[in-house]
Parts: sequence; C-alpha cells; structure tokens
Amino acid sequence: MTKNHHEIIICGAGMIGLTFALLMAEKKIKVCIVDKNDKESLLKQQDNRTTAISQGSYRIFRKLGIWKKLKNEFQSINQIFVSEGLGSHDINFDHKNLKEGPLGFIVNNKLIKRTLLNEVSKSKYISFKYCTEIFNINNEDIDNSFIETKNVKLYFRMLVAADGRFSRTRYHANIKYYFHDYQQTAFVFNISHTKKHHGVALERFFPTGPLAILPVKNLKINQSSVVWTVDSGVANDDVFKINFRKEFEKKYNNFFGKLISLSEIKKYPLNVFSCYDIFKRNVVLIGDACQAIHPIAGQGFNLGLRDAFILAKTLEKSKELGLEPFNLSLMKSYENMRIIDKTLLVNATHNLNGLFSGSGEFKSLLRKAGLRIFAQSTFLKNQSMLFAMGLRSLEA
Amino acid sequence: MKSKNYKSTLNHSSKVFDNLSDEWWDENGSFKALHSFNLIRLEYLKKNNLKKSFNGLSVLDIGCGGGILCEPLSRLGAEVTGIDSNEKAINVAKEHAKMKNLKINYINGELSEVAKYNFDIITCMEVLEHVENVNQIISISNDILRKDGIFFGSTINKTLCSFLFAIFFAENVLQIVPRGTHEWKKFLKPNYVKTQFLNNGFNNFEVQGVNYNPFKNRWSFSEKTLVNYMFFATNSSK
Repeated sequence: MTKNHHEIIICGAGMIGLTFALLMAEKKIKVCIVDKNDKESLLKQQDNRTTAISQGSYRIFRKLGIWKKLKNEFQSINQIFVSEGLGSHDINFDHKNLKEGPLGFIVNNKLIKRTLLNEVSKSKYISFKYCTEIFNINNEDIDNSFIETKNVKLYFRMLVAADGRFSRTRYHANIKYYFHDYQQTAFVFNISHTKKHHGVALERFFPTGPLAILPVKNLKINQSSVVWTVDSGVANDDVFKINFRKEFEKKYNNFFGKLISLSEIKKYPLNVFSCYDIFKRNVVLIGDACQAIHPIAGQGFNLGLRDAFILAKTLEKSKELGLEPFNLSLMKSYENMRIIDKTLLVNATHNLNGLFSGSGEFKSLLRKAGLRIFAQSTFLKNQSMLFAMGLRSLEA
Repeated sequence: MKSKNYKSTLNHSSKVFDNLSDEWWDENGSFKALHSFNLIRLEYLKKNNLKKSFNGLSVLDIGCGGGILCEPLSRLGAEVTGIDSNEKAINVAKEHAKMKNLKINYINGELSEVAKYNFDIITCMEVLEHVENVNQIISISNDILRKDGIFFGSTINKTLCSFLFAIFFAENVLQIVPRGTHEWKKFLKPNYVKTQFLNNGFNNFEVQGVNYNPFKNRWSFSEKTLVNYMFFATNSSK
C-alpha cells in the first residue's frame, strides 16, 4: 500500500481521538491521526479546564497504562453533595456505599493531553499527519473514499471523526444534527479557599443555573475548580460583570471556608447537540463530534470515551473475523450498543438542567420532592452513582 | 472406492442468482440477510476451527456465490478456493477479489473440478438445501478433505416453522430473501444430515442452531434448530 492509503484515519488529536488511537494500537491495529495543528502547538495548547474522569474512564486509562503516567496528579472525588440553592446538602453521594472506588477523578486537561500525545508518539501502530486541514471528504464510494487536503488525497477504509464539537469532518460528511442553545453561559475558573476540600465535590442548583465546585489536587494551596452556569441574560448584564466575585461568593457561601483568590475566568456559551446518525457510510463520529451535552453532570468526556472504547472493540472484531474495518452489520450493532447510553445522557442532562433552572413553583416543588426521595433511597443513589461512574455501559 | 457421478452436484436455483449478480456485495440489497449472516458464520468457524488459526490452511468454499465468505477467510491467511456453478456469481467474485487485492482461486463449475486437490477445511454454507444430491457432495468432500479436516455447513431445517419463516415471511412478507430462492421440500432435518455425514466416513457431527431477528437484521446463536442451523463434521478416523 502506498503512503496515502490508510485503513483507519482518525480526525482530531484531542483527548478522545488520541485515546481511541491508543486503544487501536493496543489491539495491534494501525491508525493514522490527522490534525490541523503542528506538534508544537498541540503540546503547548492552553487549556485550563479540568476533566471529571469517571470510574469507567479511569479503568480504560489504567488498562492503557495512561493512568500511572499521570503520577498522582489527580484528585479523587470521594463524596458529592447536591443541594437546591443554599439548602444544607440534600443528597450526599458517598463512594463508601458502593465499593467500586472513588466516584471519579479530577485531572487537568493539559496533563491528560500531554500524556496521551507522549504515548501516541511512542507507538509503532500510530502515524501522525500534522498541519493537515480537511478540505473535503468523498465517501460516496466506500471502496474509494478519501479526504482532500491542501496537497494530498488521503484514502481510507474507515474515517473516525474525533474533532470535537465544531467537527469539520461532520460538516464535510454532511451528517445532520439536532441543536439547542441553552441561552446559558458557563464560567470556568479556579478558586483557592481556606479549608481543605477532602475530595468533596459540590453541586448547587440555583434558578439561574447550577454551580459545580470540583476538588483539585494541589499540595501547596487548597484549590477547587469551578463551573458556574448562569443564564446568558444575567451573565451579560454589566452589573453582574462588575460584581462577579461578590455574586459568586453569595452562591459559594464559604463552603470550603473563606474565598482567597479567583483565577482568570473563561466563558463558554452552552448548547447541546446530537447527531441523528452516528455514522454515515464509512465515516463514524465519536465524542463531542457526535454529541456535546450540558456540562451539568460532567459526563461529556466520559460518554465520548465510551464511544471510543466500544468502537475500538467493534473494529477489533471486524479484524478478527477477516472483515474490512467498515462492515455495515458490525457498525449497526455498534450503533445499537451506543444509542441508549447517548440518548439517555443527552436527554438526562438536558432535562436535569431544565428541571433545576427556572423558578416556577411547580418545578421547585418537584425538585424538593425529588431530592427528598433521592436522599432517602440508598438504591436510587447507588444506581445513579453507578450510572454516573460510567460503569453501566461498559459492562457488556 | 465406489464410483461417483460428479455431474449436477451444484446445479441449484441458478436462475434466481443470475438476476441478482450485481447485488452480491451490496450490504443493503437483496443479500442483506446473508451479509449479516456472514458475521455469525465467521464467528462459528472461528470458534470451532480445531486448528486454531486459518493462517496457511487450504479452504474450499462450495457454492461461494459472490465470495462473501471467501474474502474474510483469505484475509485471515487461508489459501481459499471458491467454487460455484453460477458463472455470473463467479465473475463478480473474481472482480471483487481483484479490487480488494486478495488472491483467491475462483472456479466456475462442478465439484469434480477440484477432485484432484486436497483441503484442510471445506465450507458449504446455505448450499445443501439447494442441491439435488446431498449425499454426493458429502461423499466427495470426504475424499478431498485431508485427515483431521473439518466440514462446516449451514442449512435450513424441514419444519413448519421453517416454511413459515424461511419461505413465507422471508420471501413474501419481509422480502429479505429473493423470491424463489428456497423450496421447502429440499430443506434438511439435522438428523438426516448427520446420518449422511456418518455414512460417508465422517465420525463427528455437531449442530448449532441460529436465530434471525429480521427487524434488527441480526443473527444470534440459539439452542433450537427450528429454522436455520450450522454444523461441523470431522473425519479424524480417515
């Protein structure tokens, strides 16, 4: 085969694309990663966000040998307190009730990306095409499918789009999706506070949007990472902008002691979208390229990683049976395996956000009753913990 | 050795397949159910291949059609020969293998054409229910199989269920199998097939039922052999 023919091409060297590449390499299947950036800028990428790694995702990383490379630079989540407004925490999810280990881990995106890139560059099964922008995708004919770039045509049997929320691959492959703008803005920043967090995460629901405070590993100071969702109407208000710290302190309410400092604040508009088809002929979408959900439960990355994990298993099976990477029957069964998990999370996060935002009396009653029922039912709590830990969809 | 009449072993409903030759490799076309069936029969082959790997084995696929089974076996490293009495199907198979860069030996003709060769494995999938003389195919197969060879087959049971599902529903209602593909009177009971194999020098015969879900177009292994079933026979005493 000449240089520009590849069995499997992955578009996008983000966390999902890189992990998928490593999963394929583990099964001794060759892949080629295409990304528009060069190696330097991929390594230097500024991303101050953190990612909540569920137990399920942790197990995938551990199996790939990624976890030990993070060298304890992660913070485990031992408990999650959920409350409506400033009410004393109505539900307490405690990992001790499950015996499956911590509920999740908080890791810096920068660290994950750097670690994944290092591993990828060591693998003989993974080749890389940097600085390669996709101009068009031609997959009318499965036996003659290619990506058009500035200089060359890259032929593929299977194209895996992992190029994120604004996926160019999805656009060029003309895959339709459903989109909803939440009219909410997420403020992402780090805080330091006087008391230790002891691995506690906090989720407080306010009519203007949920506030999540996640524990961060830092040996020098007591640090947490904040994702604060606010209705865009409020977020764009000048008075709110000026009084940002004050407004935040009201919601924070000295949960981990007094607020010492706030880092630089990043703003992200919130929307949800989900593709009607998760593959079109031999182009398949994984991670945020396929669905991007509300960050309310910190599940987007974990959902995407399950896409990668199960797609890798599907492609391994096609190889074991002597089939080509793209096999319609196998891809249909991949779709069947993923559709419930995806639909459930897209809708659950959407409805959770809907339920906890807004201030109608009925909603408020429903919330209070719901939280009460949850707080008293160990079964419900344990089941939802298992679900949120991403252990459900990996059992198969 | 008793003399054998090699004629007309593979002359089955060739006309039906003539008209469909363009569709062999269309996973959404007339052979849709066959393509999804390919997954489970490959799994069955892999699971029951006593030689563990297909790498380097010589495999004969009797009634290979467009080569849907030959190609994956070739990719797994087997030296594959495919034989079919339908000329158009063989031409499709040859073209397709060429496009996919696979070296497969395709022969248009009767089983007698390969009588001078020997094979480690013979596959004969969805064929026995089309032929006039089942006994003859089994007998020739035993001749050309090496010692410890394996014969893999799949066919359809002769039951009320198989009439309802394999013919009435599949061909007329759901139209997932081309009309006129099957004749119920040619369907074979597992015990009948087993007897034929044991009478022809094979000494081990195992049956595995399979189920089809037409709504999901998915096959699964099943305890029951009411409609479709697979089997393998070995000749270790040869």
